[in-house]
Order: sequence, then C-alpha cells, then structure tokens
Amino acid sequence: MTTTALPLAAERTTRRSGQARAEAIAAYVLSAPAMFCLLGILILPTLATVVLSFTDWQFGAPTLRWIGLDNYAHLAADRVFWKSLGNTVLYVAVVVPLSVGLGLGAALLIEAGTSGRAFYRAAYFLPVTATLIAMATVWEIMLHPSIGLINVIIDALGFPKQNWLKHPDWALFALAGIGIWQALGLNMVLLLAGLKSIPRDLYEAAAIDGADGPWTRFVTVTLPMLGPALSFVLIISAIRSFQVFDTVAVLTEGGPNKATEVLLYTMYQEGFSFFRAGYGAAITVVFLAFVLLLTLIKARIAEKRVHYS
Amino acid sequence: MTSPANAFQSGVAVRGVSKSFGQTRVLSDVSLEVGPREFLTLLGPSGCGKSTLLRIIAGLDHADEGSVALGNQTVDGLLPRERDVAMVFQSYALYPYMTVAENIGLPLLMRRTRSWQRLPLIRRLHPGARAASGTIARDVRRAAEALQIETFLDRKPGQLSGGQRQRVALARAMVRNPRVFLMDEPLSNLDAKLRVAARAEIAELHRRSGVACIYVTHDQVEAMTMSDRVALMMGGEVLQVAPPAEIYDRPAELRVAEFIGSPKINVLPGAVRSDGGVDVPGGVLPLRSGLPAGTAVSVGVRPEHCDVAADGICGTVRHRENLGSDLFVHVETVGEHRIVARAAPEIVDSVPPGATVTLRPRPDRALLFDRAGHRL
Repeated sequence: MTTTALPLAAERTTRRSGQARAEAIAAYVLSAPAMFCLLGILILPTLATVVLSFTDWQFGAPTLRWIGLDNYAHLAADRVFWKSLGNTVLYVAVVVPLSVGLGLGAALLIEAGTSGRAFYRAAYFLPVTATLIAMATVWEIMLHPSIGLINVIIDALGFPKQNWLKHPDWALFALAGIGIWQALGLNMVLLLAGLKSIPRDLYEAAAIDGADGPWTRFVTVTLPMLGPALSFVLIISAIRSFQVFDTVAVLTEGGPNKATEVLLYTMYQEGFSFFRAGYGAAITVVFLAFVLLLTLIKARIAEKRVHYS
Repeated sequence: MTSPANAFQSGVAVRGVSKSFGQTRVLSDVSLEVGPREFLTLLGPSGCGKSTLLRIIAGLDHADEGSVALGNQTVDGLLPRERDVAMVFQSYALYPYMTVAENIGLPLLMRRTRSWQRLPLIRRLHPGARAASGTIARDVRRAAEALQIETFLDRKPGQLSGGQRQRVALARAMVRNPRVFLMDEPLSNLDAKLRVAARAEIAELHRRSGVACIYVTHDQVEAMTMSDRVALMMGGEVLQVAPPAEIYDRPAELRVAEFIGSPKINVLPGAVRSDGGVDVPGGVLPLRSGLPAGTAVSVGVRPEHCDVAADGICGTVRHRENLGSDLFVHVETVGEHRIVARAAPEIVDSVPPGATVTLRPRPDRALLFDRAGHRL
C-alpha cells in the first residue's frame, strides 16, 4: 500500500501542474480568434491611421515620406478644417439636447398614456430602422424650395418660403432637424426602458411624502432615477451626432459655401476625393480624439453613478 | 416628535369598503375602527387583501365602495399627501440618490417650502427657505436620534445594511406628525434576529408617538407581540377584530383558530353525547357542552392544552420535536387523525416513536365549532 501510494501522489501533483499548463494553453488558443480579430479589425487600423497622419502618402501612391507634424500644422492653418470643426460642434450642440429632450418627452408621454403605447413606440422608432440615405431623399423632397411640404405649410401660415438646404444660415439647422428626427426614436426607447425600471414604490412614497405634483414628482423621483440612463443616452447621442455624414454627403455636399462642412465629410473629401490620405488621416485622428474624450466621460460617469445601490 | 394632544382626536374608520381588480374581488364590505392611539395589526395570509386595505387608507388605491375617515374627516376624495398619513413600505422605498438626511427630511421639505423655494440657488439665499431648511435639519436630527441613525445622516441608502435602511424608512415616517402610521410588512426583509429587536422597538416608538398605527403582516408572532388589537383577514373579509389574547383563546371561527398559534391547533371531528360530552376519534372529551345529543362538531384543542396522561385519547407516537423548552409529540389516533401535544422535555425518553400514549385535552380549554366553522 505505502509503496504504491507515494508514487501515486507524486504522479498526481505532476499531473496537476501539467493540467494547469494545458488549461492555460487552451485559454490562449480559445481566445486567439477573438484577440486576432480585435487586433486586426480595431487596433491595427487605428494605429495605421495614426502612423499615416505623420506621412504625405497619396491614396494609391507607391511611396510615402515621413513628414512629422506637418499635416497637423496644415490643419491648424486650414480655414476649411476650422469651419468644419465649428460646424460639427454646433451640429452636436443642437442635436444632442433636442433629440434627448424630445426623446425624454416622448418617453414620458408614452409611459403616462394608457392606450396606443405599442403604436407610438413603433412610430417614433421607425426613423431608427430606416436607412438614412433613403430617408434623406424623402427629406430633400420635404424641404424642396417650391413644392416641399414644409415650405407649403410655411407659405400657408404667411411666412416667406426658404430654400432650406441652399441657404447658408439654414442648411446646417435643416440637417440638424433631420438628425434629431433620426436620433429621437432610439433615445426614446432607451429612456422608456429607464423609466420602466423605476420602482413604483418610490412614486408612492413620494406621493405620501408630498411630492405629488407632476413637476415635483419629475424632479424628485423620475429625473434622478433616470440619471444613469440619461447620461448614457446623452453620450451616445453626442458620439453619433459627431459622426454626422450621410445627410451631408447626400443633401448638401458640405455647401453652400462650406456652411455644412463637417469633420467626417472633410475627412472623406481629403482622403477619397483629393486622395490626400495622410492629411485625411490627421483629420481622422482629431475626430478620434473627440470621440475618445466622449467615451472617457461616459466611462467615468458609468463608474461613478450608474448603480445607486 | 409628536405631541399626544393633537393626536388624540385621530383615529381611523373604514366603513363598508369593497375593492375588485378586474374579476377578482380583493375586499368585500370591510369595516374597521382604529382608536386614536391604538396599534392595530391587519393579519392574514398573503392575498387576503390586507395590503390593499392599507393602500386604500393611504389613498394609493381607491375603494369601489365604502369610505375611509381619518379623525373626523372623510378622506375618500383626498390625495395621499392631503390625508396626512405616513407610510413605511416593505421595500422601504428610500430615494437611492439622496442622503439619509435628505430622505428623512423630504416629507418636511415638501410641506414646509414652496416649489420655487426648493430651486438650487434660492434654497440657499431666500430667508424663508433658509429658515425652513434650518428647522428641517433640526427635526431630521431628532428623528434620527430616536432611531439611533444620526451617525449615518450623510450616507446614501446603498451604503447601509438592511436593518439601517429600515430605520431610515421609520425615521422618514416618524419625522412628521401624521394622523396615522401605515406600515406594510416593514420587517419582512430583515433577518430573524433583527426582526425580534425591531418588533420591540417599533412598539415602543408607537407608544411614545401616541399616534394610531395600522400594521400589515402575515407573521402571527408580530401581530401577537406588538398589537393592541389584531384584525384577522382572509379572502377579503375581516373575520375577527380582538386583542391578541382574545383572538388566541376565543377565536370566532375555526379558520381564525387554525391561522393563529404554532404548532397549529388540533382539530378533531366530534359528536355530542347525551351527557354533554363529545365523542372524538380514540376517546371521549368529558365536557358539559349543553348541546343537543348527536350534534356534529369540530373540536379544537391547542397543543399546550393537551396533556400526556394516564387516560384519555389513545394513539401512537409518530414524531417528536424537542425544542429544549418544549417537547411537541405528534400522535396518530383512530382514523389517522394527528394530534400534537406539548409536553415537558423531560419525558422525551418515555414517548419514543411507535409507543402508545394517551392524551387528555383540558376540557375547559377545548373549543367547539359547528359545521360552518363558527364557534359554539
């Protein structure tokens, strides 16, 4: 018994360490496809873009030259870039509060209503599922200077018709309107889910404590309980509207006179119309920096106050 | 917290309240009076309508028929706030984003300030708003001290234990001077040990406040230990309203007798003999029931009124439970009727499973019920 027991024990320990090694190898093998994809699809292209931004590469050219920060120096002096950045920020500043505010309003109305909830939910969500390029064409007709529905209504109300998409003062806001129309549905659905997760007990406690008027109830219970959902919706709306591109490309092409030039459109033009890939990469890096900043803010908020309990 | 003088006139009167949710009738014609300083417990199994009744009193639900009066005022059309009640929820319903102090102070803030005075900047600058927040802070501290949570005032509910949260919920109810406290199973989320301590504490706080309290529970121990009177509810009806001792000793119905008491009361089918005694499976109860011979009855005998003795009902021991202080002997008699008897733990060795014993129910403590379950 004892003579066989000792070798057995020794064998068991070696087998155990062998098992651990095999397990570690298996873990690497199993996660390799995911790691590979992550590297190949996300991390390497990003690094390549950053590297490209330090070169003078022309799209399709066989050679490239390292030019350091020259592209960024050009950017800093480029009026079109600044106009484009300013337009993008203005677009975000209009679309985010309005699409979140209106989405919240729609969510509150749907939640408060007793009938037709499914219908309203679907109706508001429709623009999210529709292809924006196709919808942009519909908007083009709606905004048409003479036969468009919007101008017909404005005319009927006695105001002068506008050529919305061709007017330097109005074009960006017309695009912002389409952006709001598109983003509202998703914001509403997310906020509706947030509203549903607020325990009914809290509203009842508030009713007994005296916080029972619509406004008081909203600021005492709904808004703070919606905080996590709301901050999430704000950040993703900001990121998404920062990426505005399709409506610009289809409806205005950055015009009139750069009035609707936005970051992604400038980048697209530099990189794919003028083939200045290095310069386009520099714009992309600036764009990424903004999106990264928003993402970091979101992560910080998520860390701090998503879960109360 | 509360001066007894202005609480004295208060009380609760529920008159003929009925309530249905769709096809389900939850309350049928419930009437109830709660005295000005009384602690009344609504006791019953889950789904008996006790919470619905509480919510109707609070104004969170509305009765289909009947009316509720607080003090001398009918409150049927009033909002919960206007009814001036305080409620403790089973989930505590604390506002997770507010500190303990803000949670406790909210009912005062809502009553003592106007909504424009609660706006961020005005709250600090307006003299009236500042004065109000000063008195609120003082009252909050006093309520917190009464519940020994004054050291947690700056924390959020998420940082507190279950017992501490429960105290915050109590403090939020007691910080005001309401007409009535409504408590909906406030102890059911606490562990057993805390629950015993909290029972005594709530009863004590109620005595000090001098305000009527309606307390909903499915736990008969809470009902028996805390209440001035217990209203036992089943199937949407109030079966009996009485002090705990009376509801235990003189239950109006068999259902009441069966719900109250642990282990459950023993119920045996019986027939009245010509000498007034009652035939039960395995023996005879020497009673003077005064009922006509041949009457079919149900005999209820509580375990502690059933002695292991030399003569009486004959049966076989099936199971023993020794709790240290008490020994419960489960005995099977003729016709597979089970009787549980409480005995002294010292005799545990003399009643092994399978042994034949005789049980003698105390005739003066036996309860007789007619076929419909009413006590005779």
